[in-house]
Order: sequence, then structure tokens, then C-alpha cells
Amino acid sequence: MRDYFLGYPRPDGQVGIRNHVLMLSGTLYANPTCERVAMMVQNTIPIVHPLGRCQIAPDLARTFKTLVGHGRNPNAGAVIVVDHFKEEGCTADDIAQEISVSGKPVAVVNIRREGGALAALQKAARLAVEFNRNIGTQQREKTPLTKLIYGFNCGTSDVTSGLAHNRCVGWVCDRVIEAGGRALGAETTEMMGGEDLIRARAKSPEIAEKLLGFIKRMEKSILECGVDMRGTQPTGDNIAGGLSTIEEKSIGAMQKWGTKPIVGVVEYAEAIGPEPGLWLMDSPGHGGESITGIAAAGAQVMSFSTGGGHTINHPLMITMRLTGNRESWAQMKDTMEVDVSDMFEGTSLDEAGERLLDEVLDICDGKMTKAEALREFNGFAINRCGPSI
Amino acid sequence: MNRRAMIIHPDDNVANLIGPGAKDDIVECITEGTPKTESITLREDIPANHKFAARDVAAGETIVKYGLNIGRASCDIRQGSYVHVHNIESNRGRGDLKEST
Repeated sequence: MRDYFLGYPRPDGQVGIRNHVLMLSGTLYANPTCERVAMMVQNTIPIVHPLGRCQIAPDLARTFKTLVGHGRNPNAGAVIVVDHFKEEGCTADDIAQEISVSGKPVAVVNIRREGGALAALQKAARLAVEFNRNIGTQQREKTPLTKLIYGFNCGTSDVTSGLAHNRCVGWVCDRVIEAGGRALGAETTEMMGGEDLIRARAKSPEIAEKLLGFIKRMEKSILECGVDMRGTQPTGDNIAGGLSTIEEKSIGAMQKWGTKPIVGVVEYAEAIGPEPGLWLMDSPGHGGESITGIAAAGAQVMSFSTGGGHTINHPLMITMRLTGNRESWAQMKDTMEVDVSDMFEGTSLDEAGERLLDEVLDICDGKMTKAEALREFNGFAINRCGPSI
Repeated sequence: MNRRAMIIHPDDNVANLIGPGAKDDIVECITEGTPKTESITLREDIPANHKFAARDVAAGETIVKYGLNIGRASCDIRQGSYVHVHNIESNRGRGDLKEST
């Protein structure tokens, strides 16, 4: 197995697998400027969302942390933050200031200060052209897997998930960790019912308790709604795919964790520590929200394993999809990269896992995912902890 | 017709069909990680890859898959019967139950 990838070293020691200019929207009202510039200027990626206004303080802090985390993600070679509001603690200037700690080029375009949408568009587009020209001379360098944060997630799970593709993801986690890298997953909802496995896998009782606390918090918030979680979790797709209960879905989802100890647990969108190993983040089962949290923590690449097939693609954290369901592969192969359905015909986990690892490392080196080639940006969604006010 | 199914853990009382199954199909069930195989006859049609009871399960009994608790039987389930949301239910996230676990 190879133990390196070709990446772009950043001033803060992180290593990117892409060298994009990032258009980062501070609030929903800056979205059109970011989207237009990304359409005009090649190699430029938009991060747009509906938040940043009239959020309760912890929620606004979460939005801020998520946006800053994306600016710091090493797949961004330079960042342009666009907005015009004065939301305390979450202005474009505040966001840019925090991102600039990474040492990469960062600029702010304030729509009001520039004299409106047209002038702001002109300034942002000109900056994107200049940034692209300047970072274009950076070269990929041979980088050990110690610099890799391998993100993983699953969606549209079915009964093949726990038996095939999720096990392949776990196999890749194990290899990345053995090479000194970090693997990062999330999806607290899909840990409900897996408490015994968590106790057995956590490196220390404190780590287990923190993760179990996330699950209790999640379950409490559901119970407080006074509803039966069934009907939402498992989802309609899960049930059509043969998953009957959240417990069954969870234990299948946890096959992605491989076999190594859980070395750390973080809150949503929080950066993970330096220790190699398996890390887990608090997030809902919502695919876009959970992969966005993982991207904010600095993961460069994501394996999204799916039973029913999925079009999900994070704009900045390069997202490759795999399935072990032969029918889903046939239906959705335009937006998926790896098929491991032959595991049901006798292909071993080692063989299928290696196929996935090869594709992940090739993608790190620059091989485009299908969604990248299609510029399908649909997987950015910031998790919320409160109402709009 | 002969079919295959996987029993993931020796303690499991459900098996995962590989492909679809029809009533009266005889399914060869392989318990992962063991040389054990057994034949079970399906009592009804089962959609591709879905579960069936690997042994008789009484109402209220724990449903075991991966060697772990994935819910409870909401009625008696005979070996070879389809197992899904119509006859098993979750114990978790049940705000509709007064005494939720």
C-alpha cells in the first residue's frame, strides 16, 4: 500500500489536495455575489448558505466556527469573504481575521463599502482572478498520510450498508490510521443503539462518556418534541432499503469506524487534535450538515458510502461516493465513484477495501470526482442549535 | 429456488437475504466467520436484501443482529417470516412512549 499523497503544503502545516480560491458568503444575502464570481472565474468555489442573520448567540457562533473552518480548510489556497452586515462577532471582517491565522491570502469584499452589488461583484471577481494567478504556481508535493484527515459519512443507508460499503470505509480508516493519519466521522443520531460498541472502542472512559453524552443530548432533544422518531429516522429510503429501526441503522453505520480505538471526540465543526487515530464529531444524521462539520474540522477528502445511491458532494472537501448495492450503482453511477457490490459474490473485504483506498488516494492526487467534473455543489449545510429570532 | 442469506453473528435471530426471495424458497444461511450453514424455508415473498427470522421469535423478544439489540418484536414471528417495520419496533427516540428508554 502506498503511504503518501500529492498535496499543496499550507503555511500552517496543513496540506491541501486542491488549490481552489474560495468565495465564502457571510450571510445569505451575499450568496449571489459568491455564486456569480464562481461562475465567472475558473477554479473558484462558492460556499453559500441561508444563515448568519437573526440567530441566537450559540447558533451564530456555530455558523461563525463553520465558516472559519472552511476558510482554514487546506483545500482553499486563498479566500474571499463577502458580506455587508454588522452581526456582532460574525462580520466578514471577523471571519477573514480568523481565517488569516492560517497564513493563506484572505480578502474581504463588503458590499456596502464597495457601493453596492455591482461594484462588489467587480471587486470580488478581480480579486478571484488575481488570487488564482498567484496561487497557480504552487506545486503538489509528496506528503505522508500523517497529514491526511480522511472524512467519512454515510447516507441513504440500506441493509447492504453494514455488510459491504461501510465495512470498506472502515478498512480504509484502519489503513490511514496505521500510516499515522486521522479518520473523522460524525452522525450522532446513527450512534443511538451502539452504546456498547462505543464503550468497547473508546481509548478512555472519558472519551466514551463524552460521546455517550452527545447521544443522550440528541435523544433528549427528540423526546422533548413529544414525537416518535420513527418516520424520520430511519428515513423512508432506509425503510424501503430494509432497515427497520434506528438501532439497526446505527450499528450498520458504525461499521465505517473500522477497528481502531476512538482517540478523540469533538463538538460540531470543531477542529480535531493532532493525535493519529479515529476521531468522532457531534452532528445530526443529515448528510449535508454532518459532512459540513467534518469539512470545517479540516478533512481534505470524504468517502460517502451509500446503499440507495446519492448525489451528495461537498464543494470544498472532495467527496467520493461508493455503494455495495448493485442496483444503486446501475442507477446512480454518474454520481458515484466506486462499486463494491461484488462483495456479495465472494470478493473479500481486503480486495474491496484496497479498491476504495486506491481511488481515495488517486482523488487526493488530483483525480476529479464525477461531481467535481460536473461542478455539483450541494453538500454544504450548517447545523443549527436554535430558532431564528 | 435456492437462495443465499447471511447471519452476521452467531447470536442473531434474523438473517439478511442476498437478492430477492419468494415464498417457499429454500435459503442457505451462512453464519459469518463460522463454517455453520443451515437451510431455512421462506414463509412469504421478501424484497431484495431484506431480513427474515432465522428462528421463532416471541412478541416482545429482542431482535438481535450484529450480535446486538436492534429493537423488539411487536408480535410473534415464525422462522422464515419477513422481518421489518410491520413486526419489529425501535426502543429509541420514542417520544410517543410514556416510559421511553
